[in-house]
Amino acid sequence: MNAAGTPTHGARRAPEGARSGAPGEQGRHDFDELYAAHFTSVTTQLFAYLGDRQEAQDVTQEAFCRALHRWKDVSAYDDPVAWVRRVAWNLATSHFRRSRIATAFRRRHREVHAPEPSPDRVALFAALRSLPPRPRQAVVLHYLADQAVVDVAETMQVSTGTVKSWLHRARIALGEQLRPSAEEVRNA
Amino acid sequence: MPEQMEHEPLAEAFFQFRMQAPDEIVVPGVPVARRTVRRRRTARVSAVAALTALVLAVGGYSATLLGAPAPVQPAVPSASPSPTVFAGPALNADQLRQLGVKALDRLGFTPERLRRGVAFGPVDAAAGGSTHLLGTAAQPLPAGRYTLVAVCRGVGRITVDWRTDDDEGTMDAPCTDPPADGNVDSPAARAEVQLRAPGLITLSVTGDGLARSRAGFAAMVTDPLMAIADYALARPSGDHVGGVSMVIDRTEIDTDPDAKAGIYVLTLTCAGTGTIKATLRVGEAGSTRTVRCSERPSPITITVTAKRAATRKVIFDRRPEDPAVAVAYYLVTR
Repeated sequence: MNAAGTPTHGARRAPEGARSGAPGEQGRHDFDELYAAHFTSVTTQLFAYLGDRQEAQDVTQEAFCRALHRWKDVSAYDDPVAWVRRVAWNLATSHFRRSRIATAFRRRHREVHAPEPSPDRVALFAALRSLPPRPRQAVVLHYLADQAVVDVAETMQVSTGTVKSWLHRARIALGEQLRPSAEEVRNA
Repeated sequence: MPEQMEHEPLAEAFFQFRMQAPDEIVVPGVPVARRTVRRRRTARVSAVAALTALVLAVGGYSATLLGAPAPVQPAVPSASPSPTVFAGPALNADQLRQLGVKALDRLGFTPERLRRGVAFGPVDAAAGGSTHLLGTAAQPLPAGRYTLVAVCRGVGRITVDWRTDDDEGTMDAPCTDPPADGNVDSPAARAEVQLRAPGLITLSVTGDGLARSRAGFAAMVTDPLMAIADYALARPSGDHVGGVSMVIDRTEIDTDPDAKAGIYVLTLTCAGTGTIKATLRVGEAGSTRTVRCSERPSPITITVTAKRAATRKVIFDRRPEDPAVAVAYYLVTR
């Protein structure tokens, strides 16, 4: 990681197993393909973490803009999407950086014609919001980015024991909040 | 892969979320990213030139002072003391205004850059609160469906009562400081407000005992142009695969890289003045129409048949020098 908080390499393996903007001529990746293949999955993770779809989109777009800005370097990495994902998470976990992006992007107000969030969604977001930021990030990386404990530990630069502990506590805390009550089960 | 040993409510909740969320995500598109990067590069070159000029100017100024003792400046109290409070005494007018500006900032506006349908200010000391009008008699809000959003900075809670000619409602918002690093901001209060005819929305903002004179608020409704475009939009039957209302001032692209084969029907309206070019493209198949924007837009339809799965793009072209317009679209597949 450099002083600007952006990763200096993108050589980590990509656990999502999705298309990754396969390298073309001279081993370089194609930005358009990378963007098309990964924008939604990165945004989905940040959506769960931040609880705000628009903000998640803005942060992900900013991460891709930064990748494009230095595409000559980033395209040469084994796994450029790992770089983008890392930048996106850095932005999402820094309120100061995130708020600057949000202010700039929110001027162009957009409203998606989406259905009201389901009660399950509301419950999930409320439960996630009850977790401190770091355990919340670990939960999202594990359950949405499909990262194994060891990968979460590497991403977050903590021990696997810490991640296991976070996940264990989160499962208990969130499980209680997400489990239907006995009354609801009876009614069902 | 996550290590799932047994049925877990958490895993199931995330599974559901993973299935639903992608349908709601709007992809700004590569052209938007390229434009942003291009603009930043241009700005950076200008900034370097300005900085160079400044350094030269300061250098010259310093040279004239060289050898003279530096004047001692008395300490000047900050002109804008931090408005962050944790209850305690009432704040002065400047501090309250700053909290209002902070709330406004969360909505993406500044006092210098406002639009119709936005209000902000201090949470009044009076128990009866303060009243604000969205829209004016000369320029009422057009008929349409609006989302009213209210946020509050400071302490305590506010109640926002809204009223139109036909309807009224109320909502609560907590007054908070911006969150520390990594924490989630408290959610903004939202309400759907329908104006059946052009008119005003009256807001009455009341703070609880803690918020009065210790908080600032901001509220806004959907951009009126968006409400016009959205109101005029017809939503055809079929499987809904996308739709957005947005204000555009240049080319906008929404992309879905995994569109299935099928017949796609795009219905859209454009509110404002002038024209835009609307394109629906699925792989090789595509169609473009020029759409006239007006204060009373009519829906137009573009139909494209995709014989195989491909990337789908909805593109709206607007010349950057033209005033912004609002576009609402609804996309279904059959």
